[in-house]
Amino acid sequence: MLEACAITKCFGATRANDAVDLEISPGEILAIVGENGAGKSTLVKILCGLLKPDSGTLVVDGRPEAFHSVSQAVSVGIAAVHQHFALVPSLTGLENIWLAVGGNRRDLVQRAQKIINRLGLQVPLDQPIHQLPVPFQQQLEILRALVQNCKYLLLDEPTAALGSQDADAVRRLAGSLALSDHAVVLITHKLSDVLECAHRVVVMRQGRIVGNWPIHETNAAAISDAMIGEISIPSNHNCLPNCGRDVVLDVQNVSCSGSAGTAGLTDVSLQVHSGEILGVAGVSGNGQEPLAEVVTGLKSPESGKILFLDHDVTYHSPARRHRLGLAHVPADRRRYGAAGALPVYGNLCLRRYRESALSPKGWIRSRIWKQFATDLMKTVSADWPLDFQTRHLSGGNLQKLILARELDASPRLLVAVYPTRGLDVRAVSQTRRILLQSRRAGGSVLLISEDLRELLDLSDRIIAMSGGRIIGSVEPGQASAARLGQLLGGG
Amino acid sequence: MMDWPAMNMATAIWMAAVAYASPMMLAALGEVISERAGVMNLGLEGMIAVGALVGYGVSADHGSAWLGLAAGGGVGLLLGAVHAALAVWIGADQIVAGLGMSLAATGAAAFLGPMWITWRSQPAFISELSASRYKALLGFPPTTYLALALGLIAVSVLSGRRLGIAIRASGDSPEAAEALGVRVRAVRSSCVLVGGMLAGLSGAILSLAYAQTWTSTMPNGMGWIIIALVPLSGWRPGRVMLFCLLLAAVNALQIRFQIIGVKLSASILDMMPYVATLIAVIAGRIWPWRKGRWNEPSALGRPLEQ
Repeated sequence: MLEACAITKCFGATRANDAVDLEISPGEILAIVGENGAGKSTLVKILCGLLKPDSGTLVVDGRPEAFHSVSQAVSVGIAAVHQHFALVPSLTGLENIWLAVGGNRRDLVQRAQKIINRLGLQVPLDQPIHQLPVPFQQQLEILRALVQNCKYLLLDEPTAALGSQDADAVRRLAGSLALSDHAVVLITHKLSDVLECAHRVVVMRQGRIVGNWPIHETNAAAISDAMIGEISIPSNHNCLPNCGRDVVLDVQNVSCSGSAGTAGLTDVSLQVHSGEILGVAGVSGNGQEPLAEVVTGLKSPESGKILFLDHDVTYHSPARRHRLGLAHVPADRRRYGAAGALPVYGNLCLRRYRESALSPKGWIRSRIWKQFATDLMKTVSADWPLDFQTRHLSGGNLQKLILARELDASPRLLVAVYPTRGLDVRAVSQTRRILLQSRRAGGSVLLISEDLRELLDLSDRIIAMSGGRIIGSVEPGQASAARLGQLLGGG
Repeated sequence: MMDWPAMNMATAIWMAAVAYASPMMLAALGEVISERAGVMNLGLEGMIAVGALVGYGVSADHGSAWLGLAAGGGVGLLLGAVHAALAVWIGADQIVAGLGMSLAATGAAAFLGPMWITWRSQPAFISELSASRYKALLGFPPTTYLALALGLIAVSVLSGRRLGIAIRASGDSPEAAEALGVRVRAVRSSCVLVGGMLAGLSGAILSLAYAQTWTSTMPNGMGWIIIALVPLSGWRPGRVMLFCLLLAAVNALQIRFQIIGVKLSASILDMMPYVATLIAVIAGRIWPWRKGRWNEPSALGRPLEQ
């Protein structure tokens, strides 16, 4: 049995884990759920030896343990599979396992093969990791833990990056691991994971455990209430429909190729009307990012046409599109959203630094820039020090900065790609409020998201993408999670 | 003017090429090993220069060519240790550290050399093996066979051994490797040390076996050519040795042209190996094998982040 008693861990002023008690026995699947920032990942990192707790003890099979490294945790049988796999991409699966385990190569192959057969895994051992799809990489991580005789497996968001079929396979795998007397800890924010395969569920909020129930004594509503707590997340439902008839963005039969291993676009057509939030649903990697790139001008389509406010912008540069009124909140906000090395005020001015109001006669006047930045910050009620280096902003604050900059000149269309991904509840709520404000002011939003609840809450209309095509649309009023799930599952 | 009665021109060029290729191969293998572990060693030229000087000087002082070779390798190892300390442990910018090392070491060799080596110095050289019958096949200095043997070892270690896998993992995703229990800094430093030692040894072979003399301009750009050849060969030891042989052949041809008095400026002829390198680099960018199994260490030049 693995027991954690009164684990506490602080980062600065925030208590990521606050007196957390937990026990897991072999043969059990325990789901730990909670919103982003609830402290799930911190707890996993402590259990697997990546972080040291400030206080509290770990007891493994009756012996108290204090881990100084991951390999120490592995040696007593605890292994974690993180969201970002700890695999070396250029090596084969076998070489990755060998590197961790050592010993005789031939014996290792036999042991691995035995486990593969017993659990019905499909992962090939002789191919380099970078050629393997995500589910296989995940299987390989689990395999590596099993080869090292780990009894306690911590899976951090194992289904987050997977489609529904692969997610089912992971749940089945967790089931058969439990049958063979392993303990599986499933960290997740998907209720479907919990309800379909866990035996027990622990709910975390703000670093504390707020619920701990056997699965048959609880239900989805009770779990999500415990997860979210009191913070209300703004939704579109009580806003009046604001859609006009004018077409703001008209994408006509656009095709383009995708980048390494992900879908491009095949014959995609869509229209966004004024004052409308059009949601794009789908598992990421199914063409959403190329769609955003083609619309914002980061990528040229191979065929088809893009009309923005009746201008043909198919081959216009991103800057030219922005001058027409197109704004962009990119998926990778640290890489494409802001220049990390610039101070906050520099990033706030990036869209308009060329204008003579900001740079008279081509000279940079930091006083003018700072004034402009201060005004912009007020629009999102933020109060950062102007000279603060942007890379040190938290995800939520960075997203607010980008939103303030992008919505500055009341753009006609905002392309928002995964705008709340990785943000904590408060930041999610603020981001949504800003998006809805922009819509109320008459702007349109092309909202690309993986979070069905968010799409249902915000969108006026939803289209679903799969394999680079639009596979269906749901009109306002008829949208429900079930209908969307059917669409995305191909049903 | 020419007196090569027993040998035709092609054989002579071939032999000169192999002789020049062996020090080149050693330094190139060292660079491959160190880059595979994720550390670029731009100090190569300087390390070879110092190795050439120390090898020659020690051999002259003590009358033993083998002692000279060992001293060359030893001083290369020391310079490698300096580079490892800067690039691996302190996390200094590898390009700046390497360029600094190169400029400082070549300068030091050119400055100290004339004080140490005079016209009276009489070092022992490494001579060719006498196998008169198969001279074109077997009549090379023993150092050539050393280079070939090390090449084979490098190929087998990098492709099949656990050590090789640890080296590749350190150069590809140091953080993941560290999480798997590889001591990335130790692996990287050892590779830089080996690379430095091979560079120093290569310099000593250059002065004691190939040129059998020492000049203040000694490696004459060989180190830089090697740094260009390593990516071109896809960081593969076997292929890099092949490229070294090709470049050495161009060099031999160039020297031969100068000897027989081809009516071209000597400066133009001197350019030949460098132009060949440029052409090879361009060809490497557009050649189909770029698309195939390409081994570029993705963390090359980037220190371990923790």
